[in-house]
Amino acid sequence: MFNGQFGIINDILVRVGIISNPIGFLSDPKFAMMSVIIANVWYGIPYFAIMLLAALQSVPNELYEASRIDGANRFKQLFKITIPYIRPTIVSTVLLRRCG
Amino acid sequence: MMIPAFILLIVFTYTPIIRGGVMAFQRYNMFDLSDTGFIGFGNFKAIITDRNFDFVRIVINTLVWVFFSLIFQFGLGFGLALLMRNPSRGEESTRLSFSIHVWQVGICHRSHLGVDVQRSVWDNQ
Repeated sequence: MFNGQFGIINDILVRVGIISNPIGFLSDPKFAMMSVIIANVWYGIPYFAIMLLAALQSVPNELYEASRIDGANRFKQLFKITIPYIRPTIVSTVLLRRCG
Repeated sequence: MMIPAFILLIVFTYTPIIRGGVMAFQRYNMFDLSDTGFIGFGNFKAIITDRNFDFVRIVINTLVWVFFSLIFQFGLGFGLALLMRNPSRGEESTRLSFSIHVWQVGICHRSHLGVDVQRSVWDNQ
């Protein structure tokens, strides 16, 4: 992983001049949790994206047109049409990612 | 026809899980690896009551980590999927960067052959 020791981030920050000494991202108690969370998030984004993209294809398009005729904006469409339709996929993917 | 896949699954996934579960109830002394006997819940009791480790802090850290990483994974992955769904301007570049990201994560995961990403991060520090 190219951020193996977060050496690249330290390198960039030191060269640009924001900080003068490299920060120990994994040993500093203030930064450790954040960097591990970032690593985990980077790792899981394509998993979620692919599963949710596949699930999004199964939502029928006529619902969106009907809701647009009824005057629904994008947010309402998102929360009232999309999420209930892909809710089983979300649940199983979250469970799979939480347990490994 | 699917027997090779089953064999791989059993050898590399199920057996370590069962073996680890059995190991949790055994007494392992790193200085004398042949002296392994069953001690029941002694290991669990040792973690919970150890004065050097704050068990509540450990549990809280784990929960915070899992919760926040799941939230961001789901949010950003969902946003990416929503962007991918409707072909709009910049479609080719977003699809290309998306597939490069997937390919990069896949290669980094497989190149460690089962070592978790977090462990590889910790190994280098």
